[in-house]
Amino acid sequence: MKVLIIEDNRELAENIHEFLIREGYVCEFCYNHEDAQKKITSFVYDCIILDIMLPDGNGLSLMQFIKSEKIQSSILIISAKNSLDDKVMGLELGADDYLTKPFHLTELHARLKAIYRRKNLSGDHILTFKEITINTDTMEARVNNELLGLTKKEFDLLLYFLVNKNRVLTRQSIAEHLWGDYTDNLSNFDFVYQHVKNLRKKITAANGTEYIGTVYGMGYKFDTNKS
Amino acid sequence: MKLVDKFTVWFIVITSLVLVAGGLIVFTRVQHEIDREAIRRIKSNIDNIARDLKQGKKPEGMAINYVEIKEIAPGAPWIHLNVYDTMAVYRPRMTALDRKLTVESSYLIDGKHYRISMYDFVAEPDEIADGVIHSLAWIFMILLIVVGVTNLMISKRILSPFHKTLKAIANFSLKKDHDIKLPVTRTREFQQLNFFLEKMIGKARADYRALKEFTENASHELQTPLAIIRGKLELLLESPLNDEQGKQILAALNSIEKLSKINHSLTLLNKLENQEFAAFENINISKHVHAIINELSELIEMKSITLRTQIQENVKVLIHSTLADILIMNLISNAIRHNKPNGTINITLTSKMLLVENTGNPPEMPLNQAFNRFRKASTNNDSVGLGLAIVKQICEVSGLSIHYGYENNQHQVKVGFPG
Repeated sequence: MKVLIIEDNRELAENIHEFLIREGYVCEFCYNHEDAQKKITSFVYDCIILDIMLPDGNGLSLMQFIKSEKIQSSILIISAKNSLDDKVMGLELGADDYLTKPFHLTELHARLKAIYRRKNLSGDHILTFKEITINTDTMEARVNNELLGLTKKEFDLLLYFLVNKNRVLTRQSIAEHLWGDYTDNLSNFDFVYQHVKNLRKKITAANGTEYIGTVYGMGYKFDTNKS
Repeated sequence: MKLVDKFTVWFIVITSLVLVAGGLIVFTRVQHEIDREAIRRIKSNIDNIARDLKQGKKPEGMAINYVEIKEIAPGAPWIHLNVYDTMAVYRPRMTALDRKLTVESSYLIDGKHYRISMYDFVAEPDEIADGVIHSLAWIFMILLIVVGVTNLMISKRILSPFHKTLKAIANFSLKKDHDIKLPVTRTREFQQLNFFLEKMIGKARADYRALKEFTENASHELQTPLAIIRGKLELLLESPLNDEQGKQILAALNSIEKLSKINHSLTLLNKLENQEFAAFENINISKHVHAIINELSELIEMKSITLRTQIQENVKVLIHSTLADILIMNLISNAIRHNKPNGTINITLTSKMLLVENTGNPPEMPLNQAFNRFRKASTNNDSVGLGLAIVKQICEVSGLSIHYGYENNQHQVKVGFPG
């Protein structure tokens, strides 16, 4: 996947860059409206991560530019503003998703993947890892071809793990991924533990390998090296 | 008491004092004048009689009514003019007593010493007093009516800029960014009042705006650094770490989490204060309550809390739908967070109110402080302490009432719907 990061804050841009590079993506970044416009017109990207508040022009006007040039890239907006109006306007202008700062990099990645899957109708809605297969269209997960009876949250959790393989997922980031805005009011993450436990149980019950490991004190990790 | 009434009362008290004093003066003056006039008249009569006597008339022939001519010893003390009054019957067979004024004087006629006295009936003091009191009472009545009516009319006119100012202040809110419009007036006191008010309000608004901008900017500007720190820590988590390092990074991440929650809540509070949620609609609050209970049911089960609900269907409330969600979410998650293991939560929704009751430790602070920002039970360190402040602000913005109480070992939060 080829990604363009448009973010005026270099450190943040580098964070995203470093994270996505490890994922094996081709990743470029630029810091202002003008450079972004040049890059967008000269190259083709699968996805554009756009900070809506740029120093030399509002990111929304860049969105309008992308729209008017009929550029096919998916757009993920990141913004410090958690305002509903901005969100609605961004999505109306053709953004595919909207993420509020500060975000978890794993969450950003999951969103990118989700956008990518949605855009590419060529059957990319099936994710496979060894014996695990996930169909994001029908919301079905299979292990060794056996259908797992997963709840919606467990399914989302498994998908989150599969997208972020070999990465430490903190309980916070999992909670935020599964519960969104609601986590603001949840003080402890006991329920994350509960969901992970259930998911593990269901996978092992279908003779799947226990890929999901606990990283002591920190969170969980989908370890592809386990067998 | 109204200012006009105060003025009027003072005016009446002072006027009555003046009237009483005036009455006394009028009374003595009138009596004095009457006496003087009567004495002068009688004296001239006596003088006439004396002249007649000198011309040789016999005293006997002149002994008319009211007059007494008496020859006294030549050595008797000389009476220049003697006046005395008594109360006497005016006419025979009349019982009422009248004031009888007697004037006497000595005359030397043909070497004889005569004393001539004459009396007349004049107005009595209580008759005069009656007249004075009567007329003063009328004057007082007229004054009262005239003053009352003019006060009403004038006060309306004179005080109208004051009332307009009052109204303007009452309608003024720092949160709404409207200029206050004070009436133009020619009264110096009101000019001063308006001048000071305008100055004060201007200052308050500038301060408020500065504070608001600071909070807004602070929470916005914090988002990006927070995102950077979080990203860096998450990247660090993926490098080979020992447990100790991992724990430290996680602790840092937890703090970031809390910071971002506070930030998020403060931003929300700001938006509420700025009235950014103006699009109210009649929403079916029952659906929202069901949805949120559904979202939280796992958590309730996990904490072994018994949930009892009594939810009337299709309750409509005029509120912003996002705010409704935040409100209900905050209330119910509070009830979960501050609950005891194996506790209970009761949720009641009627067309009048939403009531959330939960078991829990008795409140550690005065109940009325529960809605203040950053007030929280000290035992629960994970909460930010802004949940109820947000709830209160939402209620204020949406015109709902909110009440928090603790009864029968139950925390109760009641949100009352208007109408």
